[in-house]
Amino acid sequence: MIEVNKLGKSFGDLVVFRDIDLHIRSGEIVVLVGPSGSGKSTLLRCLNGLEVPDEGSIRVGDATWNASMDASAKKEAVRHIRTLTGMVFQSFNLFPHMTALENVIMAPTIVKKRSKAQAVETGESLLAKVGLLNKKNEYPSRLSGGQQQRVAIARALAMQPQIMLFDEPTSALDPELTGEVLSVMKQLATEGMTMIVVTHEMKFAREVANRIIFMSDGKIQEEGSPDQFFVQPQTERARKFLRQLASEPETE
Amino acid sequence: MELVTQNFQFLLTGAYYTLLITIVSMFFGLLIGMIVAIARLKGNWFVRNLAKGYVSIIRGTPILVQIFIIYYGLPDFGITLGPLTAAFISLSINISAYLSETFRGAILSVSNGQTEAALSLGLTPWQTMRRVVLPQAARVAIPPLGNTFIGMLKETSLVSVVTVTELLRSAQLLIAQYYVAMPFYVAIALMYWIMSVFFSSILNRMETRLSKAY
Repeated sequence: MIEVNKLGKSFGDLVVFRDIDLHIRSGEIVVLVGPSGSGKSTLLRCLNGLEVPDEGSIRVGDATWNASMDASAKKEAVRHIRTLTGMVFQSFNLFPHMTALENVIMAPTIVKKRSKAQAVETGESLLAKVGLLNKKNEYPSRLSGGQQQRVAIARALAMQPQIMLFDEPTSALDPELTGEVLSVMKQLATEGMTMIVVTHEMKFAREVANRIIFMSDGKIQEEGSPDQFFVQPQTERARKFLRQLASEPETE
Repeated sequence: MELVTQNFQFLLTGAYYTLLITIVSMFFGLLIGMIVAIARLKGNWFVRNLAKGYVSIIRGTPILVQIFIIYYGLPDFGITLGPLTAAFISLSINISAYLSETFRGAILSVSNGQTEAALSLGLTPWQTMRRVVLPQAARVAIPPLGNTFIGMLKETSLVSVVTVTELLRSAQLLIAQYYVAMPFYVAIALMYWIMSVFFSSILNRMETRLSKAY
């Protein structure tokens, strides 16, 4: 479903990551973990064209992006990739001038040219799915952080993506609100959605992930099943990372 | 006072031209200002600097000089404009430079996350600008826009120097005829004030409407 080869990205002199290879199968739930600054968010953003890698290639479904393509082919590839992937941000990024329902139906009506009635129907069923149909006419400023993030998930789902990318979806939330967002994500996982999640919620990673990828210093240090990773981490870096997490109280 | 009521019709015609010039110049000023703002934010090196130079020159020179250049200067190049057309053009250009700065600030105030969210949903950069960034920027831009608009209303009095019979020149013509100044000046001051109160209330209403989501 996703195939990343030799991907590299730098900001000026700062190398964010280099030589990243990644294969993700359809229906797989992959959690990216690692210390902050390890490049996991940037990697995720590259998969949606929000950051432009310097080298390597990305294949998502039948769309291919390659660092050696010319500018217009790249643009076309990014556009195609974006129709296949949905993105959920740490800071929700709901459109504050639109109601919850308007947020959800905007892209389908503009990008996919759905009729208003059709988009509303899908939009309402998605809001119902995240448990917020009763808030459909509220503006984001009237919603809690957890509710905003659930609307943001519904908004991404409205474009019927094949893959959902989550960039620290609960990091901006109060601890008591993370649960409602995580449970929506768990529900998506059980429905067979392909997901890549960057998160610090280790409990979620352990319960839901099929595979954990541990990134540090711009490299994939190790990957494996949650049991493997949490019980028998292979590298010293991963052991250190897990020790540091264990010394802090878990936020949930 | 009686003189004012006798010539009220004449003053109203002047007020009509003041309004007309304000609205036409504001309309084209908004249009040009928006283009210049987007050019400065999204253009390549050349376009960006061209827009920057435009704003710098227009804001750095007196409006009266600009009016003279367009009305008295352009005929040297074979371009002769009527006074009203010259007024429209010079004021539109002048106001656009100020408005472009207002727009630029307002667009920059919309967080980058908004653009990213829209792009990630598959909107093109242009759709993102139109549907997501500009509606939010408009709300931020309204208060400074109101200032500019009301400033514009009063600056139209400057085009009286190129014989456009707007409100100020109407009064001056009457004064020359009757040799009394005070009543006419007070009358037109009141008329300017009433017009600006009227525009303020419209802008306030727009601001309230755009803020209902916040």
